[in-house]
Amino acid sequence: MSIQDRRTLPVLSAARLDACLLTAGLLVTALFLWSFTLGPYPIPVETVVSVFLHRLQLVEKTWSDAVELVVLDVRGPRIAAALLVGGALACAGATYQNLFRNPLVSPGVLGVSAGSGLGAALGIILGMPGFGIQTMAFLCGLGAVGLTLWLGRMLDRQAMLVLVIAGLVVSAFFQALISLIKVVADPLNQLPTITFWLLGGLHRMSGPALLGALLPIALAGIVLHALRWQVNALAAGEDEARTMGVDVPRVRLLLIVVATLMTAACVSISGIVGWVGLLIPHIVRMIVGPGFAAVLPMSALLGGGFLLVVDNLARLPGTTEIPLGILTALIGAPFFALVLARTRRLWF
Amino acid sequence: MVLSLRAEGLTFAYPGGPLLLCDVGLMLEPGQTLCLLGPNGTGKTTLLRCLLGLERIARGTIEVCGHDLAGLSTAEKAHFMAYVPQDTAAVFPFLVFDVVMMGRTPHLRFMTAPTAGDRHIARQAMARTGIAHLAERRFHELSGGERQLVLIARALAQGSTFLVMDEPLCGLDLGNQVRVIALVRALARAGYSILLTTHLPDHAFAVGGMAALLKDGRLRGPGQPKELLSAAELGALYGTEVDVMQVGSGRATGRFICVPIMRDVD
Repeated sequence: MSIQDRRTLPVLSAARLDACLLTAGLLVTALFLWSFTLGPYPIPVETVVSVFLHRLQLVEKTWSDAVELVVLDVRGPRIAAALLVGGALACAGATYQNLFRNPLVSPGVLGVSAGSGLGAALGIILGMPGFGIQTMAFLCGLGAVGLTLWLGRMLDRQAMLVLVIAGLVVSAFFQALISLIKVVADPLNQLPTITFWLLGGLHRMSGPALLGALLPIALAGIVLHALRWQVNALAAGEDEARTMGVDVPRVRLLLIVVATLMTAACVSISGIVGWVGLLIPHIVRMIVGPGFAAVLPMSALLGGGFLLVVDNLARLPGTTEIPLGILTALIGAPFFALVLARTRRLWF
Repeated sequence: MVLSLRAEGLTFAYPGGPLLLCDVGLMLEPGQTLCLLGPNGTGKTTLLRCLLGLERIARGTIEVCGHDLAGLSTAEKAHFMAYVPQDTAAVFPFLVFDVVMMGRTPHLRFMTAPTAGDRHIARQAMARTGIAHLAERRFHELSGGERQLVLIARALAQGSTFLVMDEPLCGLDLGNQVRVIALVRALARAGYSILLTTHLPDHAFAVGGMAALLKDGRLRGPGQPKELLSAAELGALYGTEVDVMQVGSGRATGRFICVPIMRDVD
């Protein structure tokens, strides 16, 4: 009996969900402000708050231009990007897990990561500027998923498993092309750039790059929010969802499109950052239960908070950056094993 | 206003497959129950899927409350008909209340969330099937009988008057079978129209509505169980000799049962 008690998920009244979201929101806000104080140029947290208040014309300026530059232009975009990318990857992961009714899929399942990687690698060997590389990564990510959908449709119009396999095929093919580009790339300049890009990182972040990713992510987020109850019903399977009024083929395609937009936008500015989209939704379900209407906002908050913590770790050593994708894997993999050990009985 | 579910000349085959349903006609009116019998693999579930609009039929018409099913949107179909599967395919550990609340999905508009009214309807549905006390339990941890009652509650929360149940009595112990049959009878008395499939002819007698037999793609009936379910019909249906008899003594006197003869069994 005690085992069952411990395993019983929290009862999610609307009030309790609000309390969970508020707590998480406050924690992430505190984390957000604190992150500005980290780095080789120390800035106290009061000053960070004051800089923001000054932007809203609420307080007088009592600090140097250098402090303002570090807060708003150097650390600001990077910290905002960590929140945005982490939140978006977690939301995309949660969406795909409901859509495929498989708790083990990640945002890259349909090949978007491999596609974006190829786009970025192409951009780099063609000597494109940063924004060109971002655009290439974004478009090739979308292209890869388009190819997966086409292939899935050729094989079997209905089965979702076929789509996962098609994603596997497309990913493998694009990975091979990435390797090919690495072989022909200039080993002194281009190869290290490609390698680091593929390992993920937010150190290249700039205001315009961030804005370029924000637009598709915000758009996709609104659509996911609007469809959250339909996505919730999809967890019960296609037939049941259809008899509960969900236009499954249309909702499914729409979800794939928006989750892909989200992921491609993330990967185009951060490189390939694994594990966030797989791990965070599981932790979220342990806190708020599996209802998608609760999972979505909580994933956005916890995903953002998680990636911000990891990115803070990545930039802490100061001189040498640890690529973000390596850190998320180092932390995510053992953590995921832990989560699985706790919840395994529920799925298999 | 026509309030019936009506199928005429319903013909269906999977792409490239043999004809599964051939010229099937049936009608279900408010307060009526129809019990569908047939051997394994004969297309009972396929017939249910066609009636729910989950399959595209090759020929024939299906009308629900006077509307052609093919012309209705997915959401409109869900307003007329609710489906009670044998078990839900949900993968995540949902609470019972979450599962029942899913039934309110067709009533939610773009961007909106369920209201206190929706939650009230869900709680009423749970009270009606006698599972209100399970609201905060996890669905996957319930017994088969409890799960069936939860899925019926979900269908009731959907607010549709036609309930389509796929083998709701399969795998339940005797006590739970009786409880689900009692619930089906009570729902029919309250005006619901219920279509269910079963493997046991006794259930068709016990549920107390109409019965129909499906074999080789053709439907016999609907008709009164006492007339339709003769020993000869059931024997031919299942390919084994059976007796249909009225219980002659004890407290179940007068009830009809079907008993296989098992002449060739040691």
